[in-house]
Amino acid sequence: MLWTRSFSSSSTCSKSACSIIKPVHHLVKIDKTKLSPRFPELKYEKNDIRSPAFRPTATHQDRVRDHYNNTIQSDMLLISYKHDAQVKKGLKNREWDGSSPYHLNRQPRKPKGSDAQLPDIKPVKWHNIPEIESININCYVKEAKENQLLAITAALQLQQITGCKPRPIFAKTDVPTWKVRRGTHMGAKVELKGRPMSQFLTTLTEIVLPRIREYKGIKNKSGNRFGGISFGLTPDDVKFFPEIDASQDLWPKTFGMHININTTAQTDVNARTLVSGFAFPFFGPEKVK
Amino acid sequence: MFPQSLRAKKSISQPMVNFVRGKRTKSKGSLSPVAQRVVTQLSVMSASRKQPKLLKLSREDLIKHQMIQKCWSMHQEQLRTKRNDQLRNQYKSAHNAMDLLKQIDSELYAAANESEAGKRFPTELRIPTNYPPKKIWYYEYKKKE
Amino acid sequence: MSFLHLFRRGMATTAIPQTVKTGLLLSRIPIVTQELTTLEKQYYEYQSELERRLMWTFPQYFYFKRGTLAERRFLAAQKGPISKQPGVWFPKGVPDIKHNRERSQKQDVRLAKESVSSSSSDAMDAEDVSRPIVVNSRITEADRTGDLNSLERKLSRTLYLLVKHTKGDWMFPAFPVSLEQGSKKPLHITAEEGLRALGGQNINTWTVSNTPAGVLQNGDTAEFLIKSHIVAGKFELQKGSEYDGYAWLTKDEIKDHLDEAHYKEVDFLLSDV
Repeated sequence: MLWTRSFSSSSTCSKSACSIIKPVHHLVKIDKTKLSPRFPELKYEKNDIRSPAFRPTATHQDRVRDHYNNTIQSDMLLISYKHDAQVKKGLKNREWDGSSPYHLNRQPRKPKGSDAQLPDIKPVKWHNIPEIESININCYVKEAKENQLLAITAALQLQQITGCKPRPIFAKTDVPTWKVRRGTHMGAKVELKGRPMSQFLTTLTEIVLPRIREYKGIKNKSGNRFGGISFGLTPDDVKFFPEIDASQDLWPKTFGMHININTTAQTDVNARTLVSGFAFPFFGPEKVK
Repeated sequence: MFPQSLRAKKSISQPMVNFVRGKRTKSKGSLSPVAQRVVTQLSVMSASRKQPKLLKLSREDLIKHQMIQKCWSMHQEQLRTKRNDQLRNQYKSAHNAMDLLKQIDSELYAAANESEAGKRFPTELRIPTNYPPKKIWYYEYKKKE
Repeated sequence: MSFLHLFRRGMATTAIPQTVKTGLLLSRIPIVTQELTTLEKQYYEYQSELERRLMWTFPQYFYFKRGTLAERRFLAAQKGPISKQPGVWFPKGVPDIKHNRERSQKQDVRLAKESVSSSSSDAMDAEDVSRPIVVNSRITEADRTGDLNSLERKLSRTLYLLVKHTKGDWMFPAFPVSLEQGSKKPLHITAEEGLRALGGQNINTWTVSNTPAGVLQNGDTAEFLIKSHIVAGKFELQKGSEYDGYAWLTKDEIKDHLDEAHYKEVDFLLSDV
């Protein structure tokens, strides 16, 4: 073996220049409201009835969840069963070979063919059967860069459809070609979980999608590689939501939106099978890899 | 007499007095209708003047509530355990079956172990509703040739 | 019997079964939501009352424009809150009203009755939002008559198809699998074809998976269970088969129909609901 020249003669383990203890003391945030004795009720958890933010969650039977537990879950277990399946290693960061002294404190080498590390794919067993975790609805209004009021209307539209409080979204960067400026209020988003999510899912599959003209379904190519399915609704499709449909004169303009369904499935293939269990149609050629 | 009657006649001939409403001077009309609508929309989403009073539970009520919550979480826990046990048994049963099938016949085993990418639940399998539809079951299905 | 059973268990690990069958767990998934227990019903009621109490005031000014007939009609339908009066004692606390709502109580929003004085035809009724909702009964004709062959019984439960052998015992439909080289077919296809031969062609089923959900071993026979859902159509027992009866049964009823050892092997494969 060739002897390579090193900066220091001491071994790499006993390097004195780098701190072994992580400096966490300025990373731990102290919530000062918790320290103050003034509003004791603010210290309760949000699911405690004494907290001012208390909102009951289990207010009615969740038929989507029941359907999942009674039918889909065990079916998904069987569909994704693979005999003697092993953990499929995802791409991981590589080590530098140490041929150069500059390798010593260098960032780990990127995996082959990918910018980031990819998670391992574990075989589906009884404890990791895919399920729908949450639904994110994103309503980005292009015209809001000229008319700020439209973003507010878009937020109200989301609130009317989902019954949950939307959060504003802002342009992240300046894009001169689109005349977008950083920090402009561009629309609204909402994250649904639990019963509001079930409600939204059933409204979508039972009322809205069947009324869309020549609706084919979600594309079979849809997916973010890690079990998230997304599709979009046009402004005209949104008009079929019963909340909008019932008061059309209030909605001269509606806004399209992106809907992301987050599942705990590890692959898109599994996620699409799962989502089809909630009566979503799919179309097009399947994308296996 | 005469001028009086003439005056009366005159008033008859011109019975309508046109009250023309002048321009609004108060500040209420200063917002354009579009802006006014957005203000209404904002107020729909905002909590101001819409929030109810906070709950004030007596000690007894609080204990009752906490007991109910505890009971509910225990009930949910039981259901979850039961479900997980059942799923574990299902997994093991499928595993046993595949083990046996592998011993019996390799071709049948290969067919049973095939990847099912692209499998879709049929859209006719609906999510159960609170009440049945008018036509509960579709009996008239005919085999497609 | 118990000795035989033990023997059978012992055999399973050593000898490979020679005869292979494929059984079919054909189920009809629930059509209506599952029945709630008393606890669940009461808890949901309690929570939904809490939710109503903590709900924000209904912004009626958004839905009904000021000064319109619709607004007047809506306001007329509401039961207004009791307003505060000087020198009056209020047993339920001094009213605190904002936006026409008593803040210490839940708000009861009522839809105004549409005026249908002109005509009361069906077309008008269908348009009327405030018409009473008439629901179909969760208990069907088949439940009342106790018709076990009907797919419309026990809408809130998963039903499984059980067939009755001419010898008299109930079982899941099972079909022999040929292990010869030329005529070999995957298990799920054999099961589906066997079902069509047994119950007629006009039945639409969806096989859940190629993978068998379980195996029932009986001496020299191994019966692999394939899961499937019936989607549409009807199971009608064809003449000339070895079975002379069928029934769509829930898990509880299957327990009564199968013998105990047999039931124990499939117990966890059946849905509780």
